[in-house]
Amino acid sequence: MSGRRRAVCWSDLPPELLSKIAECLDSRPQIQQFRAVCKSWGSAISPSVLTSKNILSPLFPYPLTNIQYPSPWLDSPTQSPVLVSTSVFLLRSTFDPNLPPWLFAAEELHPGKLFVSKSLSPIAIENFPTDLDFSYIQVSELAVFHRVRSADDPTDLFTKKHLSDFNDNRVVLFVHPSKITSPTTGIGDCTAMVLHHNGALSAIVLKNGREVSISSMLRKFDDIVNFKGNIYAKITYDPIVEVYCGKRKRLAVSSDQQELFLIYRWCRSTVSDVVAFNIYKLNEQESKWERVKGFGDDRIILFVTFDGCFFASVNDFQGWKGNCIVFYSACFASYSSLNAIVLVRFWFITWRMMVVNI
Amino acid sequence: MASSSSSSLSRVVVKSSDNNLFVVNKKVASQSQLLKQCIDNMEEKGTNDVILIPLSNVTSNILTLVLEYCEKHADFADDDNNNQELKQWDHEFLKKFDYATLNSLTMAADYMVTKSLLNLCCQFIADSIKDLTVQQIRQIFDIKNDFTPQEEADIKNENAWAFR
Repeated sequence: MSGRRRAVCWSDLPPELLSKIAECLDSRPQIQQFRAVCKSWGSAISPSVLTSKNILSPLFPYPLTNIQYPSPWLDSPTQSPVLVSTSVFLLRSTFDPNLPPWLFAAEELHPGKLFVSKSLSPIAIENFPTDLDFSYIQVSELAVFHRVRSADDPTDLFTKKHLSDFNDNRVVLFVHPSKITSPTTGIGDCTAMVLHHNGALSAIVLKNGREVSISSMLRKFDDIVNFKGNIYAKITYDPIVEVYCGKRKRLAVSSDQQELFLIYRWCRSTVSDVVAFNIYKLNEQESKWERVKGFGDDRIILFVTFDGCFFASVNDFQGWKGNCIVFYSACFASYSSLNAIVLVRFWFITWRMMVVNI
Repeated sequence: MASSSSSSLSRVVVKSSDNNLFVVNKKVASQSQLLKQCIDNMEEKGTNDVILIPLSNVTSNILTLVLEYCEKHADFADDDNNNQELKQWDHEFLKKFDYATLNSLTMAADYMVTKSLLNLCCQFIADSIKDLTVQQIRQIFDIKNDFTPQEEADIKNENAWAFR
C-alpha cells in the first residue's frame, strides 16, 4: 500500500467521465442539478444528454421492444409500441392566490418532448407558453395515467392535434405481490393491464412483451383501476390482478387510496338534458357496493377524463361547489342508450391566469 | 492467485505507479481491456516469458481494488445465472469506499478499460448524487462553486419546464 495521499479533485474529472456519470442520472432535473455544480461539470454535459432524458417520470416512456410486427398494436413493421404516462398538473399562482388555477395534462411520448392537452379532453393546447416562471407558480400533480401508443415517426404525436385520432386505450400497472418487497423490482417486473377502446381487456408482461387476452368476446369492460388489493378477479393467468368491471361505469379511487367509488351516469327520461348519477362505495368487509349520496366530503370534486378519474380539492377551485362531478360528456357516456350530448360542467381553460407571468 | 491454464502465458506481472508488483492470473487480467491487449500482443509475438505491464497512472492501493473486482468478475465470467449474486457483490464492493477512493477507482477503471467497473462506478456516483441538492453535491465532493451569480441564474432558467 502506498502511504502517499493523492489529492483528489472531483471538478478535474475528465469530461468524458463526467458525461458518463450524467448519463446514468434518470431525469432532466437531475442532470440540470449536475450541470449547476461547477463550470467543469456544467461544460462536460452535452445538450444531447439533456434532451435525451425524461421530464415527467424516469420510467416513461417505456418502449415495449419485445412486441414486434405483426401485432394488433402495430400497423406497419416500422412502428414500435411505447408505454407512456400522462400527468395532470394543477398550476396555481403564488403571486395572487385569487387568480383562477390552470389545469392541464402533459404526456411524454419521446423523452424531453411533452404533448400538452386540456385536462378533460384530448385536445392539444396550442401556443403553450414556454417561459413560465415557476418562482410564481405552485405546481401540483393531481393524477398520473398510462397508455400504450404506437409510434413510427418521432414527430407523430406532435403533428396531431387531437389524440382521439389514436386507438385509445388505458393502462394500469400491476406488480406481482411477491415482487413488491424486492429491492431490484423495476418497471420490467410490472404487468400492464390494458383496457382497449372496444372494452376488451388484456395483460402485457413488460419483461417479455407477451400479451394475454383476459376478456372473452362477449364481456366488455368500462374502467380499470388499481385499488389496494381488495377486489380480486381471479383469472387463469398469473399474476392475480385486481379488476373490476361494469358497463358504462367509472371507478374512482380516493386521493388517500382508501376508498373506491363506482359511478355511473344514466338518463332519467327521454329528455336528454336530465342527467343523473348513481354513486356506490365499496364496502370492503362485506365485498359489496353500497349506494351513497355523494363522496361524503364537500371538499372534493371528481374529475372524469378520457384517461381516468381523479379527485381534486375544492380549495383549489374558487367558486366551485364540492361533492360534484366534472366531465366532458364524450368521455362519460350515459348508461341508457340515449347518447345525450350533455355538458354537465365543462371547465374551459382560459389564458387569463397566465398574466401572473411577470 | 491460482494458475489453472496450461497455455504459454498463464500469468502476468502488473506494476503500479508506486512500483509495487502484482502477479495476476491471465483470466483475471483479461477483465481489463488494457491488460488483455498487452497479453494478446505478447502472445502474437510468441513470448513465453512472464510479461511485465507497468501502469503509470494507478497507485497500488487502487490497483488492489481493481484487481479484486476483476478477480470476482473472472470467477463469474462463464456463468450468467449468477447475475443477481454478482450485482449484490458489486454494490457491497463500492459501498465500502470514500469519495476520494471512488474518484481514483473510476479513473483507474477508465484507464485500464475495465468497462463494467467503470459503468458500475458511474452508476454508483450518479445514484449517490441523484437526490441531493447542488449545495449538497458541492459539499460532499468538496467542489468550489466557480459560477458567477449571473451564470448560475442562467442555468437555473435554462429549462423552467423541468419541474420535477
